[in-house]
Amino acid sequence: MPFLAGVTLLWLLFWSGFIAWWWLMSLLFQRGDYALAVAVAYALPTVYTLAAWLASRVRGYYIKLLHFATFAVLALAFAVALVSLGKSPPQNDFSAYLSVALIAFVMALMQYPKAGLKQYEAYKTSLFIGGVIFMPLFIYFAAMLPNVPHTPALDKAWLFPVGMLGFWLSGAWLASRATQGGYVPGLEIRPLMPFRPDFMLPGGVTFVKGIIMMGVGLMLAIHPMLGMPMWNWWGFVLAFWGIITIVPLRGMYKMVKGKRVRMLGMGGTGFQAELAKGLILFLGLNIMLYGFVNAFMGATPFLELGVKREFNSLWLGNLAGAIGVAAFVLSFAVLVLWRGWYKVRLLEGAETWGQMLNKQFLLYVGSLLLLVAYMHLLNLPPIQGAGYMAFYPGDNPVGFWVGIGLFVAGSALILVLRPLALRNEFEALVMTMVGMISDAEEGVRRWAMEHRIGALTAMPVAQRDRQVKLMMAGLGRLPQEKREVMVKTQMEILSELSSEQRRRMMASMDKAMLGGA
Amino acid sequence: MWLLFLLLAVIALAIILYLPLGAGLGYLVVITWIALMLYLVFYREDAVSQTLEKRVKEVKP
Repeated sequence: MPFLAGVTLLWLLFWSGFIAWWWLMSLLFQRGDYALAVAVAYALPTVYTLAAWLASRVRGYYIKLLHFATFAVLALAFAVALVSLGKSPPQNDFSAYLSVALIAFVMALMQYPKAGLKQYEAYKTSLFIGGVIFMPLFIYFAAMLPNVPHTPALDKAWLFPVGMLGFWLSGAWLASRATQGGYVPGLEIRPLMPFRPDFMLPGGVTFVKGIIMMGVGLMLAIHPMLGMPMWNWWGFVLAFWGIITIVPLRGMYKMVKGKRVRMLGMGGTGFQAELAKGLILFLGLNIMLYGFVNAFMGATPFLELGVKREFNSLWLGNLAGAIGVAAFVLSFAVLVLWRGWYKVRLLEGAETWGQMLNKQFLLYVGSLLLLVAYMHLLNLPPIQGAGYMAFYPGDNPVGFWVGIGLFVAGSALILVLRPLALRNEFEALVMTMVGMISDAEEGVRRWAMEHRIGALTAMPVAQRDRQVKLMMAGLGRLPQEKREVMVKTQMEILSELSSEQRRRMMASMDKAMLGGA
Repeated sequence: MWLLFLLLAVIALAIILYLPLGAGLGYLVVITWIALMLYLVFYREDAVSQTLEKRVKEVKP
């Protein structure tokens, strides 16, 4: 019940604050106070992150609530500024209020101090909080972009990359090792499975932001004349469910059906497991892409794009339709089949950098193909001219180069930063697992350790060495009494192993202590 | 958890009532998919949880 009340309170705080923020930005954009609007846009997430960082450096219980209090003060200041400017929110924008409510719900859930305030910064690092609070920069785009067709507002065009800069940076820093916190008891939602958004958000956000930036960049680059994206909140409402599928739901599914099961040697391997994950990814990506294409085209999903004849190249039976179908089929083959086949052959947690990059490259190529498929299948305006995707650097140099810049920045998020984020997530999970096992009941702890050690002895050497090293690092972070309990149980289990199994484990432990693996 | 499903149902209903039927149905399909995923992740018993919960009961009779 305290969880429900706490999350509801935080949700209301974020909802009202984001509404005030959105309307103040909108009004400032309408008045032409662009610099001030950008300052308001960046002030909220920046000050909030600094407050979280400051609170993490200070001892105290209630000081950990500083960032929430800061948010409330800023929201109030925005509301006062709105009133002083003589404007109030409109009455008939249900999709916007719904979108902001959905964003606020995610914010509340991810930042709620489920394991208490005493060790808040240990499981919600300020870098993680910063990554979370910058995600609602979508609201900046909604305030800045026109939502009525044929209102290009080109004087505001430079503001789009300005917003994308914060959008990119806040995704990029999540690849840092400092994003993940350590083990803190009280976060388990299932046996040996913690609610740790910091173990799935970095990889998910770098991918989602990467694909959004690639898509928007590509759309800007293929226009024969300089244009601005538009905004439709209904498109965002749809894309939101795609993001939820790709990041938290797929992340939790991977944890329940994959990582935890594999760590205990109870299955979760093989092509079938990869196929399920690949299908969830592909479906989520389709929902998200169709949503964002609508959002940035200023259209309501399921009413125009793909539904009206002029926005459905299959219906028109033109070349774009054939290109779209081919790209869609190829995308499925790469993302689900090829990538699944490749991932089965990798040693989880012990992949080489080359293998990590190959895995990301397949994700990148498959996602790019899906982007190309949507542009052609929906017969978007820039496709309608040539009948296929073409570039016009001579006619539209600014649009082309800004688009390419965004595309490259998005590509870097997926190809360069996501592998780092994934590696950090996995390392943090393995280390945290040790803490969870140490806090379990005696019988459960023994059972889990028997299975964990059994799984480790069956792994190839490189994989075992890597995971044992991480587990020993996790053990080293535990308080003395928990560490002693774990070492005692571990010794008992080791003594019961066959001589070959014991030799393998001891060899890996020796390497870990000598700084190998 | 049932509150989450209730919340999803309310959101789906609000969207259906607000948008034209065709668009509303599109959102309904997507939100049903989300509910299915939530069920799979949080409700459906998995092998490890079943075993561990059984263990916990054995430890605490």
